[in-house]
Amino acid sequence: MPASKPPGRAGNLPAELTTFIGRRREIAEIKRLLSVSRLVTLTGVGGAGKTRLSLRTAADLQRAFADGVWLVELAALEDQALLTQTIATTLGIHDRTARWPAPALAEYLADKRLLLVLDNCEHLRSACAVLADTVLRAAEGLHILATSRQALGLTGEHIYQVPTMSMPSGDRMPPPDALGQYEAVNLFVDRAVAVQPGFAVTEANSETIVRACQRLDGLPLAIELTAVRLRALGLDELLERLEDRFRLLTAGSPGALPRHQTLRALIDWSSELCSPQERTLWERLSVFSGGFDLHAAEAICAGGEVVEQDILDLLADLVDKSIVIAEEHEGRQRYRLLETIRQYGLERLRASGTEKEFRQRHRDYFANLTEQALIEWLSPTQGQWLADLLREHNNLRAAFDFCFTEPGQADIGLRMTGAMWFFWIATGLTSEGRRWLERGLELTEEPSSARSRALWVCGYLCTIQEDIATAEPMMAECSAAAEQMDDAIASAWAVQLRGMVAMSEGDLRSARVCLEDGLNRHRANANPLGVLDSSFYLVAVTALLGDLDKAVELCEEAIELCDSRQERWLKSYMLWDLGLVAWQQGDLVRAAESGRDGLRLARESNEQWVIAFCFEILAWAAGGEGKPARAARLLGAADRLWRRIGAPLFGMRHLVTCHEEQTAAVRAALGAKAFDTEFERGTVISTDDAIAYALDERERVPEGTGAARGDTSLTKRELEVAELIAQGLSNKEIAAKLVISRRTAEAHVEHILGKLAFSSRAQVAAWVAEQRGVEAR
Amino acid sequence: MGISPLLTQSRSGHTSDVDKHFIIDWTLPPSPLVDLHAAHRAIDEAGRRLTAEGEQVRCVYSTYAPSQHRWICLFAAASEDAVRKVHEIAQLPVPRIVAAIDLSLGDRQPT
Repeated sequence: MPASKPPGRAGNLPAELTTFIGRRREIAEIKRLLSVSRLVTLTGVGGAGKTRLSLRTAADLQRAFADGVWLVELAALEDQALLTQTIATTLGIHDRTARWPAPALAEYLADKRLLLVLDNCEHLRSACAVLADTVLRAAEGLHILATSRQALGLTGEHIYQVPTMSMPSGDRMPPPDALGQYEAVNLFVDRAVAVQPGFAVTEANSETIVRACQRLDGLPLAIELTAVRLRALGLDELLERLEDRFRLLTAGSPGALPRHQTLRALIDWSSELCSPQERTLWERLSVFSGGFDLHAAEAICAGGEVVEQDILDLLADLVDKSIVIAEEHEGRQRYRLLETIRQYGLERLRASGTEKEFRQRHRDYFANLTEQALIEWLSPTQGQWLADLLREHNNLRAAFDFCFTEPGQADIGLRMTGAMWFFWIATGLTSEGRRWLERGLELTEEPSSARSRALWVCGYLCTIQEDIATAEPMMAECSAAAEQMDDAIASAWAVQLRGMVAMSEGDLRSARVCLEDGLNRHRANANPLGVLDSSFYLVAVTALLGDLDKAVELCEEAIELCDSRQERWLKSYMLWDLGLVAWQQGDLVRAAESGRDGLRLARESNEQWVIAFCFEILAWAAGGEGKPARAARLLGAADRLWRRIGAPLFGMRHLVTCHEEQTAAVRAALGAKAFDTEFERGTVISTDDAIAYALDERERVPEGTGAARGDTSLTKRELEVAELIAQGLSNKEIAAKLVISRRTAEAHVEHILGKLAFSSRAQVAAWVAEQRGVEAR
Repeated sequence: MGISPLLTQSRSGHTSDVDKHFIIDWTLPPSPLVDLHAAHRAIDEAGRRLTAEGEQVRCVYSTYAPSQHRWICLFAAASEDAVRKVHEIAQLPVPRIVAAIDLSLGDRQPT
């Protein structure tokens, strides 16, 4: 879904695609509950509007949460073990360590003031409950708003049963001009106008509209599915058909249908009003998880009565009938089914006996996608591939799951998960990658090229997570299998991995031997991805061993290869390498230049490891150039990232020693107090603002550094309040100090945050300190 | 030197028909104790929930050897699958699960 947030605010709430009707009382009550409880769960039947209500409430509360409001959509998540990873990915956390994800997430959230919206928890109820308990205990500033058909069952949880929309009750019919007070009627009319411009409530139709809403129990989804039928039916005919359907279901007793069956009945009716081709397409589309595009729909769903050339028109028809939702995402059209509707389609597909066939087609389509991505990774389309794979993450997970649950399919699953090795690393999804690979390896025993690749890929992920004990047997098996099958590619990777392990253990000489061997093997195999990957590690090792000329030569060769392919991800790594070599050569200008070049590229792909590496090298260069304040701030920015993503500087002892020496030198140059202040400033600003600072992008008004003095529009009172924030006073204390109401104090704080485009009080404090420094000069 | 085992539920209070035991024994990456306590609490809660849903499982005994980064848990469960599910719900990687005999059961005869 396209995101919409106020500029300068963290969060990912999607923009609303349709008008939000009413629910003021409900929103007020949910807000009240969130003010007294940090876990509120909206419950109710499917179609009651839990999701829309949660999102609307969350949108209203954005300013109350300095670190943002974040939506995590769980409907498409089938594997409960991936819950924490899914939330971490949504929050932009890249963790390459082997640390357990739940405590790591809790630690990340510990100093945040943030609202997490967990949507559609029912199928992951226990996992959501256990994780919520873990993170809420650790993070006092965290609030969770969950939607589920059933409460999570945690102590302290406040449950809010979402009512149906208000509508006239009984047979008493209010006059048409009084119907505007009823939410169900307003929703019906709003959706009707979308398909019949000019539609309005009149004396002639008011009773029919009310009866339709009553028949639909005021369920928002049911009302939406019905109103769109006005495209093809008259209002009276619509009500007549509805009444016929419900009469059949309740054996002629009006109102006897339980509410939770109303939506089911409505969806049955919607299905019957579809053409056979539309129905069949609806069933087949239900194999998608998290949405799909036209190309995928055509490739997977065509066959029999559903002709490929007709799929676009059929999709458009299903969109018109509100069965499929169409959204534009980054300039491309994507489609999805609401979960209730998807589940209905899946049931029908299962009943038709063709579920396995279409899941297999789904799997084959995404298997091709992963192989194509690997082939084209070193190309100008790299960025697009990364975005595409991220967009299809849920579909990929569904495909993997099919492979590892359906007998005889594990080898294909291994092939897919192994092909995505660069994806697991580039996105920081190393734990998830390991999980899939380990699952596949457990299911297969026979040596095969897919298994060999999976072994070295999994070994690679274990190594960068510093889990050498798990990596080593995998490498050994990979080596043995590669030799047995004469698999030169797997052999090369196994050798490279031995070098990486030696490097992380500090044995640089052995590392160099293995990495050189690996590089030569990759060259012999004409494997440019292997050449570049091994070069990154080899350059670092060669430089740390003092052979700087050779390191430069290797680095420049690798960068030339990247440029020949217009490849940017690995180039960012190589530029950091170049910066390291230049720093060791004492060429601080070149070190800084390479660091900045690497940072620009890493920012494009959000490659957080390289971003952190570049902050380090820029800090070391700044320290050497006599800019200790800048160095300290960059060290703080790097520290903030390392704490989230894993072992600083890949855990390499030699690099860690360099880091410690540089930090000590900067601290000595600045003095402990000034160092701590600047370091702290580096840790509180966002990664984006730290990058802007590192790149001297002064034309941007960064969130972390605020407006320059003289440009601020803070009033005198707001400046007073900012000063008190910097002194560490709470809103209550500020109110007492200034003899104003607490609400007024809170409003001042909100205005300050908004005007300075900050998201935390710590940033205000840092800004005040900076202004004092400016004044003192 | 050892660390006191984290006993979870009283064995004498266990009244289910569960008579299978499983051990998980894994070497962890260096982990702060706070992570272990959080993981242990998650396992307890996950076991309680699964049992309430009809799948008997509980962590009988949990102990950590910091010098070896080794965590050992003994589960009483109806099946190995239940132990696996507990780990998934608790958001922990699924370790190797091995059938075991709890010799401290006294008069109760394990199968």
